[in-house]
Amino acid sequence: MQLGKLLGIIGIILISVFLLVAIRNYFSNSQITNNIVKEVDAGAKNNGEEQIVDLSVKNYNYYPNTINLKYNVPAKIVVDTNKVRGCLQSIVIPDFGVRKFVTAKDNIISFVPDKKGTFSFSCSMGMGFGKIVVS
Amino acid sequence: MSIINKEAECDNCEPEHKHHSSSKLIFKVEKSMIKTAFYNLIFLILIETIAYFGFFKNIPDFFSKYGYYLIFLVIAVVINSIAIWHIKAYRHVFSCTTGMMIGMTIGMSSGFSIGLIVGATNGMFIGSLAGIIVGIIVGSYAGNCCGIMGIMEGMMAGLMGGLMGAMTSVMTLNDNLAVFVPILMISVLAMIIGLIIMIYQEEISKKPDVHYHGFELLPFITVNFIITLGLTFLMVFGPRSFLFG
Repeated sequence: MQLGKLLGIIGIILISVFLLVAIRNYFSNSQITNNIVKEVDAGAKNNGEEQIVDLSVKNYNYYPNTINLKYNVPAKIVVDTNKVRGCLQSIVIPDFGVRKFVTAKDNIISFVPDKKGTFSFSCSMGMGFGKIVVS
Repeated sequence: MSIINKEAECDNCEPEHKHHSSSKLIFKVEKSMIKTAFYNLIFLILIETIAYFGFFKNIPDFFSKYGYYLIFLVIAVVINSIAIWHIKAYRHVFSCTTGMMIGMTIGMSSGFSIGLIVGATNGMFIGSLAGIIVGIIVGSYAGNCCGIMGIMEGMMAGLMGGLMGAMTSVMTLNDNLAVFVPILMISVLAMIIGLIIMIYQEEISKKPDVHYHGFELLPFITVNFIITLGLTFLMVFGPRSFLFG
């Protein structure tokens, strides 16, 4: 019974403090913001001899999510292992025979996109995925 | 002391401590439970709305990132807390088997639902941690009605539920998680309704003397307020895994 009353008093105090801070924030417009970055598409850098794509993670998935490549030009996917962690490090591109677990020391996936079309890539567990568009 | 004397005595005492014969108690506690759940739901929705305008309004993509899951956080807190309210209203009448069932169901449902929701915004580590902590505390408290066996069952189910909830969330992030969460919450609600029916059929309707010992509304709402707001701020401003960029 004593605990119930104590909890009731604590509740009234906490709810009052919460309301006061919320009202003050609302009128002073000094709200807290977190550092969410909106998704922006990114493509491959092409130096004529090879195409280089930087692959990272954003919004629970690979970023960029769609990779545009040129047909028959060797491609290199450079994986940012500081962000690509866990099962996402095990990258599978079935149509180009790629299956690689990237590490900090070996973070480049090389292949030649010798087929035109849209192909999928994913992590080995299928939790992260994306598309490769070869044109 | 006879039941009649107890009732007469308790007509003058505080409303949360009454004795009744089970025939007079048909759905009395359950009706009171539904009323409490409704007040609790309205209160928590109001708190989340105030929190949005007071703290989260300037966060870009708030609804898709957090708001959607905060709705289910409120629902999860209401479902699990009201199940505890119902169990604690009958705290002295349970057998050990029923107590273990209670500990397991409440531990699993609370751990799983909190792990699932926090995991959807913060990832595996924080989601599991929140699910395990809530699941173990709530499960052991609910299972306490029949002693150490219920407590152990509640703790184990809380641990398992917390891990499973966060894991489910993280593994379905790119596979219709937004659709999966309401389906899972409906499943949790169905299990809790089943538990309430089980308690009534197996324990309450068979006993000649039932001890009714409900919670006061203010302390009950206070605990829900602290849990909901704590988890809300954890979901919005807490640390998150690499998956969330």
